[in-house]
Amino acid sequence: MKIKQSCKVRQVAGENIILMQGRSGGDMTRVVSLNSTSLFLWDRLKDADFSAADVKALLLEQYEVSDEVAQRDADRWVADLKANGIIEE
Amino acid sequence: MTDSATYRIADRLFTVEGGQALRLLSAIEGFGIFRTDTPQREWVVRVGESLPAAGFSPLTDFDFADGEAHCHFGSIPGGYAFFMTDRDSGAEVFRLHYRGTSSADAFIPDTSHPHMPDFLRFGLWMAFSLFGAPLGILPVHSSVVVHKGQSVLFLGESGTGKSTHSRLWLDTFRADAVRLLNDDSPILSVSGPQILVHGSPWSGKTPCYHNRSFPLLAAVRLEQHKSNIISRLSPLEAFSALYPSCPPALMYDELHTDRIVSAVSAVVSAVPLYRLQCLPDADAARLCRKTIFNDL
Repeated sequence: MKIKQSCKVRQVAGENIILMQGRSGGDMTRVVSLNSTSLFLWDRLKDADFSAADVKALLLEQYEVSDEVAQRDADRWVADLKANGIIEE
Repeated sequence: MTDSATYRIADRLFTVEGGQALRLLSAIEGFGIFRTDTPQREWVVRVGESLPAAGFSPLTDFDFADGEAHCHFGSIPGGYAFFMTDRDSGAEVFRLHYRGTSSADAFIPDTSHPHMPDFLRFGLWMAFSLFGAPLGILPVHSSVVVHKGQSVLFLGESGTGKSTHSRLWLDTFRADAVRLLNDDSPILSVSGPQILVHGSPWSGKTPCYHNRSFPLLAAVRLEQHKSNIISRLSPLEAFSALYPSCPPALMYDELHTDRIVSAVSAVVSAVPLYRLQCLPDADAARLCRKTIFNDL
């Protein structure tokens, strides 16, 4: 999977966000906020073709977490970004 | 000598050139009070006899108002194009090419189209949005009231009750000289030392046209609810509340997105934004005013 090239992280009100514009009309914007872990993953993966296993490996490399927690967080990160249309297969 | 009319809108000079367009404009309510006879020029829309389409890359398309037309916005070499097509025939009914920062060209293929006044009005709104964006001057989809010399914006999706809430303020605080400045598309300017809200010729279904401007005190995003609850939004929530009310057509390319993000960020760092979950009743207006003005 890949992060869509059209997605850009912007700094707003001290937060890192991605603006996802809907297909049409007003009030269709989704603001996705990235926490520091999410931003770390973003920076490492934004130009890569990656799998959930790569995400987990990055989490294990960067943070002192158990294999189980890394797996859970990696799956959740991928699911959240997919649900918001930020990641494509 | 070209026929032209100049309007002072949000402290900017907005000129429309071309006899056909001016005849149409003279029948459109709302523009008259913004008219000025200064010979100066700042932003000019030249409505000509033709405007060849060329090199259009679409960015977005959307329905116009009640769907009498479809709108198309995209880039062209050196700028942007906006055009509208008739819902039924697919024929082009309005075209605008914006290049550079001070002039745009427009073309009206069929001036006798029954919805033409509305199409032209909207086309000029798009032109104004394009001229204003680089300067932090943005139409905001909202209803705005003025109280004690300051303005309060009511934001929300279409059908949420922005106009209704404004009307509740007018009715509930009748004795306190609350006034409606605009009911659909006031202009926010973030370019000067303070954030101002300006009346405009674009006020939706409510004929409310005032050539006045007032400092922005607060903005309130409305949501329908079974009771009245108001809360102050965090900076990020405030951003998310205001951003979607900016011209949606301008959110599909990086240049305009950057401009709007910057203007909205400036607003949310300068004034408080609130979420008002509310019923369409006088108590909602009282709660809102009490919170914002810290009075009553």
